[in-house]
Amino acid sequence: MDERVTVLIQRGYVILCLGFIFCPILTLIAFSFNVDRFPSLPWKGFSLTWYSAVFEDPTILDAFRNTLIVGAGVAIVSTFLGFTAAYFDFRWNFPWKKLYLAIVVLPPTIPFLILGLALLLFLSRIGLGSSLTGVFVSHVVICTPFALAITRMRLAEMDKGLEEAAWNLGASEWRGVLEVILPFAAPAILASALVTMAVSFDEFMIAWFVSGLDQTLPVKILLLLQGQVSPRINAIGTIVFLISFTLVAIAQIVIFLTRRITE
Amino acid sequence: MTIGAIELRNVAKHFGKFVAVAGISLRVEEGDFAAFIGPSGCGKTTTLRLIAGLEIPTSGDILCRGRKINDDKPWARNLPLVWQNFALFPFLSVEQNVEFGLRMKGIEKTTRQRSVRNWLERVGIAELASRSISELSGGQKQRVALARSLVTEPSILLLDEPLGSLDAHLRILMQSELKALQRELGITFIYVTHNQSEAFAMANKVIIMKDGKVQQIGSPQEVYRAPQNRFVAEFVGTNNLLSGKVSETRSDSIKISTSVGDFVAPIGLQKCRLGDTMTVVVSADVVALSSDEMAAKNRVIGHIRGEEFIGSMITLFLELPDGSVFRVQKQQHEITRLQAQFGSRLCAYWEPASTYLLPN
Repeated sequence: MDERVTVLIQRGYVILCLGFIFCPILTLIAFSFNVDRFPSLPWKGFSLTWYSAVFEDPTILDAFRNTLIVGAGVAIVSTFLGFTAAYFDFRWNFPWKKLYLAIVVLPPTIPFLILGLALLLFLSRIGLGSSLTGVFVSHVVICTPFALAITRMRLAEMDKGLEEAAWNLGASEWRGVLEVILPFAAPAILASALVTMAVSFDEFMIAWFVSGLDQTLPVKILLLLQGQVSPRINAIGTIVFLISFTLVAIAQIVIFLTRRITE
Repeated sequence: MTIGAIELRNVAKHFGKFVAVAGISLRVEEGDFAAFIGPSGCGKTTTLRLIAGLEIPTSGDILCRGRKINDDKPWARNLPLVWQNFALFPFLSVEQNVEFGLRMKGIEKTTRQRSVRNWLERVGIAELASRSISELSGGQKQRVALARSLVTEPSILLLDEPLGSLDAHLRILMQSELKALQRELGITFIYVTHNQSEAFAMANKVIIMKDGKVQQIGSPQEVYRAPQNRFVAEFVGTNNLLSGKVSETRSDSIKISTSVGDFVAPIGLQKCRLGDTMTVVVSADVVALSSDEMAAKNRVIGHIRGEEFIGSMITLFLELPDGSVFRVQKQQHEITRLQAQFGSRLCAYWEPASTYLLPN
């Protein structure tokens, strides 16, 4: 009896914590459907008017498009870089390898306020400051470590002998990567693409520093907030939340299912 | 002179300061079932990997049918390897695994499928063709690994402790299957194992290695009955080694004085003089036992200190006066006839002709 009470208290505590964290987001989602201009109770009526307002504003749609383009580009490039780095780590040992890897995974650990400023200063010098390309480059820098970590974790589960077995059976080194490494790492590559896209999609601080006239959506949201507080922001926030959530959730499911199969 | 299937000429492999293979030279002939045996770390697996091209020799040449293959990449040599942990591709089905080698060669689909089906039947797992690897038992995985290696019809097959992961009775079964398969196919098998009885059961040529060097090469019978050095005598079979100084030399025999008695042994190939240190090798299975003191030329007297039961054979451990252990292997019924117990005093004796001399 004692144990059940303990478990109940533990679960209740976790639910309270999660509830506290998600409360603002849930409020946001709830009020995005509220006809009233001001997010207060009582509930004035269910409506999708703010959503249509979002889709009718060309500046918002532009920002959304920018975010998608950058996100997709970042997903592709970061996943590629992360995979190649993970494969190098898996296959070869070279002097200072540990140091090299430590430096590669550094970016996400630096406070984005500082990193954003630093990137703006550096990119401006090479003509990429205040541009969407600059945002793309910056996001690749911070997202690649995620792809590297995910892919590296997956490759660590692979028997090294598999690659040798492929060579032994007639596959050249390149063919070996194509026939053995890629199929094995496929779930991790997919998860990397989803996670890096989600990270880029959500990223505000660096984008705010580095983007110019072509803004990403998070930056646009801040501008909207600074301008007129309209419930359109609730609608945008809900859409952004759902997209990020879906991307990460799918990535987690992919990783989880792969682990299940390997066991 | 015939050209061997695989020849190693002074092949050495160093990993930094560590010498894995220390300049070995040997030949495996076509049709041989050659087994490399030795303790862990003796270099046998490294040697196999050198042959397969997965390691590059530090020095020396590897020849396949008279042609130097040092610079051939692993995927260019047709020397498939059967791995100890099978190394099956988990994301492919059984038939996709087996057809891999053919696909790398560019063989078209229908021919591939025919070959795959043929080999799966040959190794007895035709019904598992579309299964996923994770559903298979150890023995089944072993057969898939075998089929995968043989599908490209190689003339030389490399095997690295392929039966190591199987349970005992399955291992014995697979041993006779492998031997039959090799004879049936007529191809050369190069086999690595640390299990001496496995090598002896299957191979016609045994290569014993220690510390990266070849200790002896020969047929199982030769190696068993005539070990060329102390290590081989201790590693192979159950031998007793009695060391002492030469006290008498005759035309056909030598007498050695040791701390547990004087023994007569036939002269081997080595020349020896009075006072030389030599070792008499007495195999545990040529020794007779008696509870009385026999007036035999060669005998030791000891007390039973232990026994080891291996099926119908029992190994008795006798403690000799100098504290050393003398092993005697006998059938179960012979031991019970003696009515001996722990601590009993027994006399172990043997014919000089059944022993062997080693220079120390």
